[in-house]
Amino acid sequence: MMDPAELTHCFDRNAAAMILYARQWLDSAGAEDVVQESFVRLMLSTRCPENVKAWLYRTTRNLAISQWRSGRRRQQREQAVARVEPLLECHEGDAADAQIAVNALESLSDIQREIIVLRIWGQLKLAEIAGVVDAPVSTVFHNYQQGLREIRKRLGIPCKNEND
Amino acid sequence: MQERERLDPADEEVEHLLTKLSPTAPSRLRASHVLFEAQRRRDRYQLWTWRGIAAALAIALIAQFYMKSVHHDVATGDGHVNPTVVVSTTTPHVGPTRNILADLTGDGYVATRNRSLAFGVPSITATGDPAAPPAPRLHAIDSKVAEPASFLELLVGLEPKGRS
Repeated sequence: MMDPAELTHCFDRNAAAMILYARQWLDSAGAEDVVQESFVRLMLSTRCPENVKAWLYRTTRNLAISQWRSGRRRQQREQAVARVEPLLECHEGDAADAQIAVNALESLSDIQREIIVLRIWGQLKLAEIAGVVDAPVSTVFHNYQQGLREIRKRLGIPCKNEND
Repeated sequence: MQERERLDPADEEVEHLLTKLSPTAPSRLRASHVLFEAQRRRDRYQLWTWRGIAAALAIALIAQFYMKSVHHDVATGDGHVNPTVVVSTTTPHVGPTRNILADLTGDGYVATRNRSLAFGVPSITATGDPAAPPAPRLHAIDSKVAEPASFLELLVGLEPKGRS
């Protein structure tokens, strides 16, 4: 069983990114419920997992997909009415940059967006991401690279190797 | 890092831009909520555990009472249940009244000796006279029946006085 202080530390470091990860399938309240459930399960587990962060993301993913499937119709109806809250916030630049980035993220495919969130904001290694999404590391890297290129096109950053 | 060396510089730039953004902090989810929920569930598990133990004990108690009542019915020969025969290896305790009555009747040596010891020598002559009527054969007397007025009246076959 995990120590409460250790769990609090782990929560402060990962909760926001986990909610962002769960927001791919759920709304804000549903994502927070799923993240809370993941941490509660971690707290109640008799044996602490080897890689706590990867375990948390994996549990969050499973719970979010399960909840998304169970309430798919209801969620689609509610999402059509209510506007979702901002997913990302920018500390250095303008808030518009964050919205552009969010729009660029939303334009990606599900697997590309999932991998980029896990890699950039989850701070997971490619091998850990491969374990979370059940895919080979090469596939993970390929999707990560493709996703970054899509975002780069959306942001209007010129490719340095385009002359090649 | 090997995975980073394989990225294009432009992709690295996009990656760097994205890392400047941070996920929105959870609006209502706190670490204290997680700890509280985990404690609540742990208490609930313990409650159900004790309820299970109490239920098991109650079932065992009911089963014991049931087995006891079935055994009692067999021992008392209630209804159609065949009575059990109990063979005891210990010497049975025989009450003195029953044995005296049984041993005082008849013409055998033991009965004559007992009568002489109990009532004196005249009792021998009374039964030893060939002209006298034979001594009545007494049957086993139930312990619930009141004892006769005197053993002599019983021996000569007279009804006790005052009885109809």
